[in-house]
Amino acid sequence: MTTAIPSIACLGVIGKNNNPLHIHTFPSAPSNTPILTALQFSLLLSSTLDIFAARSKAPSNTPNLSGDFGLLHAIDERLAAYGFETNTGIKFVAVVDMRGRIVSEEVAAKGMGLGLREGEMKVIFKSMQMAYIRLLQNPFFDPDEYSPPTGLGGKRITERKFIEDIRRIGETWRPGVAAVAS
Amino acid sequence: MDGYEPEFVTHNLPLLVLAGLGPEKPTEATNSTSGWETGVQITSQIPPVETRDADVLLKHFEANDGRELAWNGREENVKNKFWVKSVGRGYTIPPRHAQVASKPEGSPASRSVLHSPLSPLTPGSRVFPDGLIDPRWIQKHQQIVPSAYISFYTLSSDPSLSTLHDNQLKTDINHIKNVLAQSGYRTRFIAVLLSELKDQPDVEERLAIIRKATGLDPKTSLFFLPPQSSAVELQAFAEVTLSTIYPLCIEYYRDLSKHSRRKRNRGVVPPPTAPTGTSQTLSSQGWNVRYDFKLGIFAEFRQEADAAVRSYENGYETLLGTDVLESIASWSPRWNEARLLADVLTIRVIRCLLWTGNTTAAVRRWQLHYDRIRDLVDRRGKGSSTYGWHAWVSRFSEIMAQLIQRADLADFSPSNSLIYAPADKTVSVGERLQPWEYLHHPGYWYRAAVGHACIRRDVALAMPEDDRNPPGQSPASQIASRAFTYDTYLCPEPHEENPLPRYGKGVDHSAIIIDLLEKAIVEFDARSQTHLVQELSLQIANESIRSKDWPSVLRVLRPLWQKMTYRQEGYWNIVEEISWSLRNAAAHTGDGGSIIAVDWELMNQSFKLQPKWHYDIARSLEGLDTVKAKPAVVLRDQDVHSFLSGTYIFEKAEGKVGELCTSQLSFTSTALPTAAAITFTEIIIDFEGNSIKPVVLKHKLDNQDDSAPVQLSKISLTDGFIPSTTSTDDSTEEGRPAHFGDDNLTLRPGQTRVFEFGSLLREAGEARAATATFRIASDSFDLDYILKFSGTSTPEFWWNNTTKGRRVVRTNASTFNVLPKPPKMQLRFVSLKEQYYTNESITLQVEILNGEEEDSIADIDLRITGENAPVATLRHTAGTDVDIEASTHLALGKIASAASTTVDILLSAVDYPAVHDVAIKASYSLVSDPETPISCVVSMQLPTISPFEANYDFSPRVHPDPWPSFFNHQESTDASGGIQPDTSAKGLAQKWCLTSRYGSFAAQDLYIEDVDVEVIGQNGGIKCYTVKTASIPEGGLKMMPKTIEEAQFSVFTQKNSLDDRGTATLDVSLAIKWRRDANGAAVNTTVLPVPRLLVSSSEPRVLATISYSTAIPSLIHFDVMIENPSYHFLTFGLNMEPSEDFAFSGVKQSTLQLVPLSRRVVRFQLLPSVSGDWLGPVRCIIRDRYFQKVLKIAPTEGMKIEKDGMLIWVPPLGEDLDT
Repeated sequence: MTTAIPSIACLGVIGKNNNPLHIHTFPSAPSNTPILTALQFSLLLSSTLDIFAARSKAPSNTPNLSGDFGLLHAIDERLAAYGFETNTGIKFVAVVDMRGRIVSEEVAAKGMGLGLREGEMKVIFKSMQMAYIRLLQNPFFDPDEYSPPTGLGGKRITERKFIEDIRRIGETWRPGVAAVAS
Repeated sequence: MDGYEPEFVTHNLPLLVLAGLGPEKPTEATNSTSGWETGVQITSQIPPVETRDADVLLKHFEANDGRELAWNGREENVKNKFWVKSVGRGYTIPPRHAQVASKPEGSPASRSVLHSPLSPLTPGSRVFPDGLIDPRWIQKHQQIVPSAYISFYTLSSDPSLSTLHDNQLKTDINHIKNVLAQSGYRTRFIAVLLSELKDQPDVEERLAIIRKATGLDPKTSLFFLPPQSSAVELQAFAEVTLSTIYPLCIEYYRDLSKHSRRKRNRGVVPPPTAPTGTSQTLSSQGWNVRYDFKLGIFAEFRQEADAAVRSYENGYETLLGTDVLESIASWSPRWNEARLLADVLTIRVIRCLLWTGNTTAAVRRWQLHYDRIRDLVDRRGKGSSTYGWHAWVSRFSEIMAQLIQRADLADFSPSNSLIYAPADKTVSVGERLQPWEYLHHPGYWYRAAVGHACIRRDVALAMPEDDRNPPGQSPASQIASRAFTYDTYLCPEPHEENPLPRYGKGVDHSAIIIDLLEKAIVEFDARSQTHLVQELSLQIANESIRSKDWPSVLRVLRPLWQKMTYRQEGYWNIVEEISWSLRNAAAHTGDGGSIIAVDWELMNQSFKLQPKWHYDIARSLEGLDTVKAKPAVVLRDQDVHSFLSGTYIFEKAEGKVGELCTSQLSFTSTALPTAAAITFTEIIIDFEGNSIKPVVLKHKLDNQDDSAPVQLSKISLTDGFIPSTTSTDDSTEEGRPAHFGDDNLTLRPGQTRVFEFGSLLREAGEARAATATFRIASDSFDLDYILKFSGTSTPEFWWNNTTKGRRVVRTNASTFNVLPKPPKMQLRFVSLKEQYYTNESITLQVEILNGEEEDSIADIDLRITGENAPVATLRHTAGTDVDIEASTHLALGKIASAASTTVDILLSAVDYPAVHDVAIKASYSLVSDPETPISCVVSMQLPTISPFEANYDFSPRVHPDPWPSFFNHQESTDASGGIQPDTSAKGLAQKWCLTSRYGSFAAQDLYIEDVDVEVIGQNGGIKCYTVKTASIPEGGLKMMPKTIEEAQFSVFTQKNSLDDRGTATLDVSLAIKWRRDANGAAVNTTVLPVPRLLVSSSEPRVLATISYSTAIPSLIHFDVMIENPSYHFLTFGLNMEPSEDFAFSGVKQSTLQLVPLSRRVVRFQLLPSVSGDWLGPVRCIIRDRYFQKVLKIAPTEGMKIEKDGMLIWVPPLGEDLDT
């Protein structure tokens, strides 16, 4: 018997101007193709921006210092978007396909339940932030080109290593892992 | 929640019937149409209460109607939620038991068991013989059989009629009570008596009688409204009545629950009324479902959500268990009925869970039902791949959204506006949770409904044509196979879902989807999820595109295209999607403007290349018949993601008026490589500020090669006018002045065009390149693309030639600082004096030299600042010899090139030394360019000093006149010989000597014309006059710088009254008349203040005078005069000390006695041993005997006083004769 467990469907890096810096989609089971089209993923990522904005504005007794926004919203019973914002305004969004990977019952029984616990996405964001910091350390990478101070648009990240990092993060994550290879 | 009988899904509230309150109503339609004609009739002979109070009371009762309230447990305004039904006097309650229908012939005579007409056991019932439940059962309890029946009556106040009325009342009440009792329902009967206007003394008694006769409990069943109740009292009465009967009503439903539970626990299927003649009867499990369902309903009536959930869940489990739904054949209509009941149970369970705030449990319950029904449909039904299945999922998602909306959860209130509710208390900490299990707001559920509605359509559209024929047109075998293929649960048959085109239109899926999307948009918009609103708007547009409703598409997409946030954020694939859709719609509706705008934007290489598209803006409207009018489009760079970007750079940061400034307009195309080159008709560059005229570049066809990636063109500009666009008043408006140039204005994809030109600077100030308008005017359309030059922080690029350039490291290279033109006119102060003094009028000369190469027309302005600035006058001797004078502003007229003119500044004399600033400003313009004002300023400091300073000595002298005497009478004789004293003054006359030594502080020789003392004021009742003792020579006394001159004046004072003994003072000033040079310059008068002079006349004093003997050379008469101006008899001791320096004769020691108002002279003859020197000290001591006080001797001419005594000037020998 097999069962479906969550997997990453899409990782998005969104710049200060709410512009997409990088969108990486991952195949979902059973067809092994991305569950949505690129356009739909773009729409899904952009729909999280309002929630980022609303949460940042909302008065809260405990200010969000860690940058982790947790669950932003679930778009349907399968797809859910989790978010993280760095203190420089870069947003990471992880779209989880709750039935994106098929494993055998035994594997699933080993703590990889069907649902997600609060905070299980943190490893992803930590790894994505590390990857982004490595990108920033590249002296030829000018953040202003990617999120210009004019507040409009910006370039996409084309750095091969960064894209590779993001791919690996998305592929290796599964619920309950303590760290993601990065 | 369409598709389900409203009775099945609405929340239940205790039913309260108000009879006889307010105007008579026609019998309610539901009562007659729903098949309850037969039943127990309640009738009454008493007319309804129709007073004003009754209306108000009815409103208060109806205010407690809870039908429209949110489905949650919060108590807001209404505490006791009822379903309030107001009827007239007559009311029909359905029969508890079915009538025995015409008994079949020959049936056994045994007493048949009667059941409710809605029971599956009653023949003729809808659910007979094996149905589960009829929604009319809920309707019966919710809408018809009340938990309490309130009858309203008027308590008559007419004493003559009261007994009769009361008897009628009693009869009526008893009648209704009996009818209710006979009906078999335990409906509470409550009577409310409304008193008439007047107070009635015997009302208590009458109430007691009625109570006794009717057996109504005065606390809970009989209410009395006292007369003349106020509005507040009426409201309170309604509240009290309702809260009193509310527990009774709840009790009513608890009794019903007990009844159902008893029947359930009995565990046997009740025997049918008549033999059904079929084996198809409801199983005992089915009966349990019935009972559990009823228990749940009754719990909901009691507002006990928890109890209701338990009963419903029991029923649900049983229903989906092996014995009920599993055992019904799936082709049977009962199967769908059972499935519907499962849905209804789920809806009610979810509502109760939301009622108690168990949001996560509600989602899980929804999911569980979905999973179970899917499993069931897959196994027993027609599978989950039919359009019917998706229609149901869509419907059930929508119902979830409606339930959440109706529950009005606090988490989703506008103040919280959460996206999803937090996990409820049923979730344990650390439990794995599906994200979807957080209850999201209804927008998400509507969105989910949309998804399934779309799949439903796709499945429906994919049906084979054979199945889409109407049944009459198809072979019977196909109809049969259809019945096994298509799930028509709550949705139409295949031939209605998607008929063949010739048989009609079928279900309008797009309308369903758009309706759901619009509902979702409302929810997302309320939580300002603008991105999702945009996404759903796009979906609406896509639906409209499917149905080819082009105007709707345009209506949705045009604002979306303009305002979408995706463009600013750079989601190009979304922008592209919206743009192509808009273009498609615009092409169909003939909106040429949108087509041009979209085509312009889509040429940007950010967008994906559509290989078949021409990407030529000139061909945008080609072949479009729909576009009727020639569109004129204005696009701004911030409105679209244009491929055209540009900068404007000034070569230098600043320049002067009248100079040429070089600047470059460069623009680059980032269009898709396959796009066609664009040829602009003209490019207009506008500047902020008045310094630079707009520049218009016009297209000129030339045959040069223009394909270089960077092309730099240097343009020479000519002056002209941009024709005014407002053609209304073309006679006067000749348009804006501008510079014109022309070149080939073709731009190829990826190309950078640079235009360099010089513009003339006109006015000082900051100039900024504001916008460039790229205009394409063709036969089919006009397009203005306005590019705004925004100041950027990145360095701009200045092209030196087509390959090289340099970075311009100014922060804002599109701004230019225009400095004013440097003036060449010169202003100069000429023939300035070395020093200017107070009290003289000053004339300054300014020479104005026109250094311009042309004649100029000049004005000058004068400004003098400083304390007590003198009055100034400008004087200009023009060529016509007419003096023009003005105070501060003077028009000089035309000054020829290289010519000069002079202006005099006349300043009035200043009284005190000061420093003033004199500024002269010449404003002029050249004759050739009168528009450009130029100015130059010259200023100087003008210090004025006082030419003289003086010090003063004021000493007493012996007045020659004799004093008046008390002791010897004297006739007035002309004793003074000199100046006749003023006879009006009667006091003692005194003589003083004012010696002034004045020094020149001037820088050059000055000529003193006269020195005089002016008495400005005299205080203390004295008369005074002065006499100049020395005179200034004719022609003036030349005074060198830093020299001191002396002037002496005799001052004669006399008290007005002899008795006035007060001290008097004199205020005098020294006036020096002087001129600058010997030959007749203007004479100025400098007045120097003299310190106040003190004239005392009441104290005794001693004056010493000397005179030189005329007979004996070197013999000096030394006179000591003691004056006693007092009214006392004074005694003085006199002591003359001998000295080695001189010999003297006279009294050495003596006592002098002076009568009041007398003076006496004591004379000594001195023979000095020196000559030509000061003799002394002469120690002569006069002592007041009485006060033992030494009187100080005041010296006069030829004497001075030292510490030890007097010094007397002894003239050298041989000279004394002269004096």
